[in-house]
Amino acid sequence: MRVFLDAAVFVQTWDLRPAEAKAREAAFELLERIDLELVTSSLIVGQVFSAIWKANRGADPKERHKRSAEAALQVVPLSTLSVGTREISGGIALAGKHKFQLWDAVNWTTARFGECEWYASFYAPGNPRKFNGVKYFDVLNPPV
Amino acid sequence: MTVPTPKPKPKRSEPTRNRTIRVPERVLRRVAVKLAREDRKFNAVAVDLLDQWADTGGLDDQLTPGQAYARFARKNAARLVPDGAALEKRATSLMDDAE
Repeated sequence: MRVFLDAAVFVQTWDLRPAEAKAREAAFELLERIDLELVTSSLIVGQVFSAIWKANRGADPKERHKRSAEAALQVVPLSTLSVGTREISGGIALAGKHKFQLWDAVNWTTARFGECEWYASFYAPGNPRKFNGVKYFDVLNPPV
Repeated sequence: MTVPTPKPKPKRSEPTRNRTIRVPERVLRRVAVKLAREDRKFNAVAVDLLDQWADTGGLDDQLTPGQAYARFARKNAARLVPDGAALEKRATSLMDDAE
């Protein structure tokens, strides 16, 4: 079963706040599963870089860059899906139709074209439960 | 009563499309050198990372890419993200600025 990993799955592994411990552990459990084919896209690599960059506000710029690059580079082996014209234009159309974030829409479209059965993330109001055959995989309550 | 003579209006500059913008070669060279340096820095990070992977068994065929990522994140979380950092719940919403 092919599962598309949203940036939130990776970002959650860096969230050290005690209140987020459960979500963090759930993200690790998903990443460590061997019964699922975990994939993501090149856009997610950029989103992880951006998230770690923002989380390190105030750090020395060189160190900040190094930390963000390290976290993002680790996602690279999983980013087997590329984001091209098809995914972006599909995402723009989808975002206009369903009023959810453009980047979310591009990710969902990428999952669809990448023949994923599931889209793994943490609940967010903008996330659809199902889209064109791709189903929502709640990391906190895994459906499979 | 004297009426002040109106100042002549400054001439409108030519439309951009008719103007050729020339970037001096030295500026281009400086940019090229800067980019090359940045690239080297980035490559140095990548090499470090591969070493770390090798150390933690991340290059082991037995590990899936997800497991290798999880291992790296567990080991480096405290170092990569300072304590108390307010991480956004969803990385996608962090891209708002770019939209």
